Amino acid sequence: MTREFFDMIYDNDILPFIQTVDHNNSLLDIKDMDQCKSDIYDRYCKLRKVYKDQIFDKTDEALLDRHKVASCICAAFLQVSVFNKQRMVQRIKETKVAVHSYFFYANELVALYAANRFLSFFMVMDYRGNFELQRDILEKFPLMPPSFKSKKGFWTSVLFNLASIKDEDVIGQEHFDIYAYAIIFFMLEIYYIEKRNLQLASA
Amino acid sequence: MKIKGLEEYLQDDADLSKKITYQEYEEKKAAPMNSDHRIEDAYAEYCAVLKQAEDKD
Repeated sequence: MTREFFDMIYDNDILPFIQTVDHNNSLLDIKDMDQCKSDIYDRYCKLRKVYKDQIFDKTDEALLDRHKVASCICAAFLQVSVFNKQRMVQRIKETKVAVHSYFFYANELVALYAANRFLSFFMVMDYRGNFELQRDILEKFPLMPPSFKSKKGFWTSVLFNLASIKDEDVIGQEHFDIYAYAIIFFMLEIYYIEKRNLQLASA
Repeated sequence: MKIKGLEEYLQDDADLSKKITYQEYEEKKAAPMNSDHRIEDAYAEYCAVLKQAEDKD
């Protein structure tokens, strides 16, 4: 994937989501998007290489599958925060009022969204010829957390885990589970398809 | 509506973690066009479907 191609996807498919999150919370500040975009692409390329070297022989031409690509995208976004949360964190400290996990984990949410969005491109391609399913993927994928303040539950655990990985600054090292997150993206895809099949069967 | 959890999937198929797409999981064979170098093709298909859906709306 060239830088220009990544930039196009970022501008068309990721930036609108970042702007939506930003518009819904006045205490979040978007960083310099051009710089973020450039840095995220650099990190993605580096992570892909590191990961390929870890799991394949260095001379092997094997390519990463789409869930690992999604995982590398997720990691790159974790390494380069698109939001500055300083004002929001300060407000939470002063008021002791919780904010939605959406906003508290805004950077992790964007990472999750971006990874799933990349994954959805491949899903759409897989079902070429089945327009109804392709359209359903466009409407329902990425699967994203509901709006909530609870600190429990699956989605909060995922976001919390991503935040922990981000804060520990061990992405790309042995502690960062690019592989584990690839499995999570795989499971999200299965979950989506199974759920759709069940809905069709019960209709 | 009951949705299977990870444990149930793994009970059904212990090799699940080795599979790389839903298609492969379902059909028990490798899925085509499943690597990072085909992302341009995948995105082109995605954009075409998006446009088709918008035109229909």
